[in-house]
Amino acid sequence: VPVKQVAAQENISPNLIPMVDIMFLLLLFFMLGADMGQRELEEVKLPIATDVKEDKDSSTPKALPRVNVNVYHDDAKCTNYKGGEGICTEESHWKIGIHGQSWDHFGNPVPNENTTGKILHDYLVGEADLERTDTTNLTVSERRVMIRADAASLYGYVQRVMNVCAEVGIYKVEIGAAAKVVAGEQIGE
Amino acid sequence: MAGGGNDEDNPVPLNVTPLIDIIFCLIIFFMCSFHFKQLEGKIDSWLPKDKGVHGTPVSNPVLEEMRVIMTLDKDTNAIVRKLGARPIETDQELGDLLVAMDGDFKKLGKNDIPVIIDADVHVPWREVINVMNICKHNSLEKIEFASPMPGR
Repeated sequence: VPVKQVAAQENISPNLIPMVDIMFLLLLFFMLGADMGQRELEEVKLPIATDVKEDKDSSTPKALPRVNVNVYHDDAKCTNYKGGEGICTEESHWKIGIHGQSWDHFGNPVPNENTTGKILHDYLVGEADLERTDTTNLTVSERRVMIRADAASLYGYVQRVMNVCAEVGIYKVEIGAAAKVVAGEQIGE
Repeated sequence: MAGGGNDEDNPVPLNVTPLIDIIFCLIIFFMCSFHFKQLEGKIDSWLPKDKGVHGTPVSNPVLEEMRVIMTLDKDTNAIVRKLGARPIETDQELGDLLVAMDGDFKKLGKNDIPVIIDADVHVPWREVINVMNICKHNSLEKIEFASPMPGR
């Protein structure tokens, strides 16, 4: 049976518009989902807790923003740290950071581009002095401090920060923790 | 937006190749730098105004307490936990014992007995947070940190 061949020459050009649409959507997703939140420079792997309160800004309009004290690991080559899962007892690997300034675990300043050269105690005295609003007791400051300590940091360092806070009269201390949300529950419940 | 059409309908064809190139680059950049935002919370741990460094010496110390002692075994890197003198193996056991002790104190009319966390300076912070979390989970809100021993 003779078959009639149709000589069809189609112009095959892919329609790129759906692909562009999808790429735009992907781009939007990644742009909006990117964590551009400021962590005040230091990367801290917070310990996980299930019973944490939602970190809402509870400060009054007149109050100053709280001071974030980061206790962080500062040696990328350390093999004991293990991404926050290990135990690194090497004291020189740990730093205390506020607003880009660093202190060692004794509270002595670590020179960097942001340093004021003050020891940790003196720096926090300056912060505490900004909110000594109780005229009956000027040793106490209403300044709030959030301690964001790495999960693997040693308790002694956090204890030292708390001690310095107590020494300078800061009593409103909050501890940062990563929320482990159990299915069906909301943080802060 | 996504509409076809013949070339004859569109006398000014747009060259979308550079656009796609740029979008690809942007997508690759955001994909490589992407990490999900960690949901952060906080645990209020307000320091006492009338104790510690500003406090007056306690004249009549109360010895009734729920003291969780934590030390680091440097040979095995294991955390040794004790409630008073009793060794604790699991989180569940610690929580149950704390609740039972708290209940016993409340039966005696002592509603203000704190859980004291007495950790060695070398104990990882996550372990301390874990004990705090157990306390919070069992509605034990009064938590204190033992003051550091001189020289530690």
